[in-house]
Amino acid sequence: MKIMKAGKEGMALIFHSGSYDRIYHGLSIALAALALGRETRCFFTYWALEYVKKDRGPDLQLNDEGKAQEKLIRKSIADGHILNVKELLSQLKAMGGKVYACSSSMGLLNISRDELTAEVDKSMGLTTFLTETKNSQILFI
Amino acid sequence: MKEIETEGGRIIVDETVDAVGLFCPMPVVKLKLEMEKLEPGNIVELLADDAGVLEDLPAWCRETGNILLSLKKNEEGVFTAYVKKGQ
Repeated sequence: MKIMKAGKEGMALIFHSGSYDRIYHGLSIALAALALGRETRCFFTYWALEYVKKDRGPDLQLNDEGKAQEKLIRKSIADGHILNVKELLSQLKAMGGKVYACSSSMGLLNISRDELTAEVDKSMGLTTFLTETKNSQILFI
Repeated sequence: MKEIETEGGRIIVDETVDAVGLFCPMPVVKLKLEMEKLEPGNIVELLADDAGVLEDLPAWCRETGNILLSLKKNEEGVFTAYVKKGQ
């Protein structure tokens, strides 16, 4: 009974930043929610879209805040303490998390559906995302 | 499978999940993935050194209906937990 109840409380995350530290933390929240048995949906928009492209750029893109700790972050990834985005995304999919791409950001950044990885379940607008996540907590990353 | 002596008596451990070196939330994520493969009543041994498990593991068990049999930290700072899969 408990598990069924928890399944109705979903988690929704809107990934906007392309900075690794933010994406890492957002995906960690998503994984924790999935581990608790909650439906989890991730919406990738703007600079975060880069991470769901087939020819994605460097896995460790950092904003100014993150750059100050770049050495520490690189070491933690190299030592296997924290996962890179690619690994986190495949973990997310293995646990049943959904990945969506923002259709208007794709238009703005001139990215076609074919350029996105197979991890992306579908592309959609915010209205669709908000109807799908009506019973979810929404976080903007 | 192995037999372990805990404060609550002897238990049979079906699987071990080694999450040593991994940060939150990976110990719980790996445990959840392993649990999915098992039957109710099966017991998993979890090894982790992220101090978060001390609070996270009981919380995860409460919400998911699994049973935390024991959770202990050794001298090297590694936590060993035994979790029984709930119904």
